[in-house]
Amino acid sequence: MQCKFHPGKKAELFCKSCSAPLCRECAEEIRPGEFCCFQCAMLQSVSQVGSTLAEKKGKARKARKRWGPFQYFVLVSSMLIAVMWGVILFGGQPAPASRVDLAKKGRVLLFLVDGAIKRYAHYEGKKYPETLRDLVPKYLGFKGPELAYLDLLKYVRDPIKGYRLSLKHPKKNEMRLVLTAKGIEYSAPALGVSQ
Amino acid sequence: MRRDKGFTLIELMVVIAILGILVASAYPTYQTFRQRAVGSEATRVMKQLIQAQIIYYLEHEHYFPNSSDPNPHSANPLEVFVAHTDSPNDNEILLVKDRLKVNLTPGHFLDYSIEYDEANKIITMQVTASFPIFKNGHNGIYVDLDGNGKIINYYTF
Repeated sequence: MQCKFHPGKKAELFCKSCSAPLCRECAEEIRPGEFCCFQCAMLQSVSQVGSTLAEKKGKARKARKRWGPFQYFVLVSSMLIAVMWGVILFGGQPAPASRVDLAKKGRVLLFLVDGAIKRYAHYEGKKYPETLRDLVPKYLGFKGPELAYLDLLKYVRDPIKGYRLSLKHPKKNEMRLVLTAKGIEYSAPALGVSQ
Repeated sequence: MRRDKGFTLIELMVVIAILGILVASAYPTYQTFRQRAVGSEATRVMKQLIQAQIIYYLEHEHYFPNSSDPNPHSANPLEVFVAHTDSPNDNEILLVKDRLKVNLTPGHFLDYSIEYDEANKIITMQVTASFPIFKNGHNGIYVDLDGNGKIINYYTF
C-alpha cells in the first residue's frame, strides 16, 4: 500500500484518526504508539488547547465558589447590619404612658413647664429664661404644634420671686396657682368670668 | 497564580460599601441603646418614687417634702429638684435617699423633680432627660398623686 502523501513510498502505518495510510516520514506520533497524519495531528493539538482553556475556566470558577475571607466578611457584616437595624427599628424603650392634650390639662402643663424652667435655671447659671420658647428643645421636649401650649401660660420674670408662672385662662372654681422659684402661691378661684 | 492572592476591584468596593453602611448604622444603634437604658431607668425610678411617696404619705399624712419636713437645700422648701450631677454626694440625692429610701443614681442623664402643692395635697414628680428616651420620642414622665395616694395624672411628654 502506498503512502497517501508520498505515492512512491510504501505505507507502514495508519492514521489513528482518519485511517489514511502513511509512510514513516508522514506519520506523527501524538502519543506513544499512536500515529496520525499531519492534518489530524494539527486538529488534535488545536482541540487540546481548547479543552485546556475550558479546564482552566472550570478551575477558576470552582476557586471563585470556594469560601474565602471576602465571602465571610460579607456574610458576617450583613448579619451585623441586619441585627443593628432590628435594634434601631424595634429595640427602643416603649413609653409607659401616652401623651396628654395639655390644652385640657392646665395643671399638668403648668408643672411641666415649671420643671423645665428650673432645669434651665440650674444648667444656665441660675438665670431664668426670657421667654418660655427658650426652654425648647433642651429643657422641654415640645415640637411643632405643641409649642402653641406655651401661649396658654403667663410667664414673667420677677426680681424677688425669680419668676411667676400661671395659666392665662384658669378653670372656674379652681384654686389659682402661681408657680414661682420660691414656691406655689395660691389665690381664690375666679367666680364666673375667667381671666 | 498571582491573581488568586489578592482581592478584585469589585470585592474591595463591596467591602468599602459595607463598612460605610456599618458605620452609618452604628450611631442610630448607639442612640437606641442609650434610649433603652435611660428610658427603662426613668420608668423604674418613677415607679419607685410613686411607691415611696405613698409609703411616706401613710406615715406622715403628707408627701415629701412638706412644711414640717422641708428641703433645706432649695429656694423652694416644698421642692426637691435633683439635677443631673456627676457628684455622688449631692445633698438632694442624700435627702431623697434618707426620706423616701430611693436611690437616685447621679450621672445617669436623668433629672428628677418633686414638687408638693400643699394646699391641694398633690405631689408632682417628673423624671426627664434632655433627649428622647422613649420609642414615641418623648423626653420624660410626669406623675401627679392626690391626697388619697391615687395617681391622677401619668403621662409622658
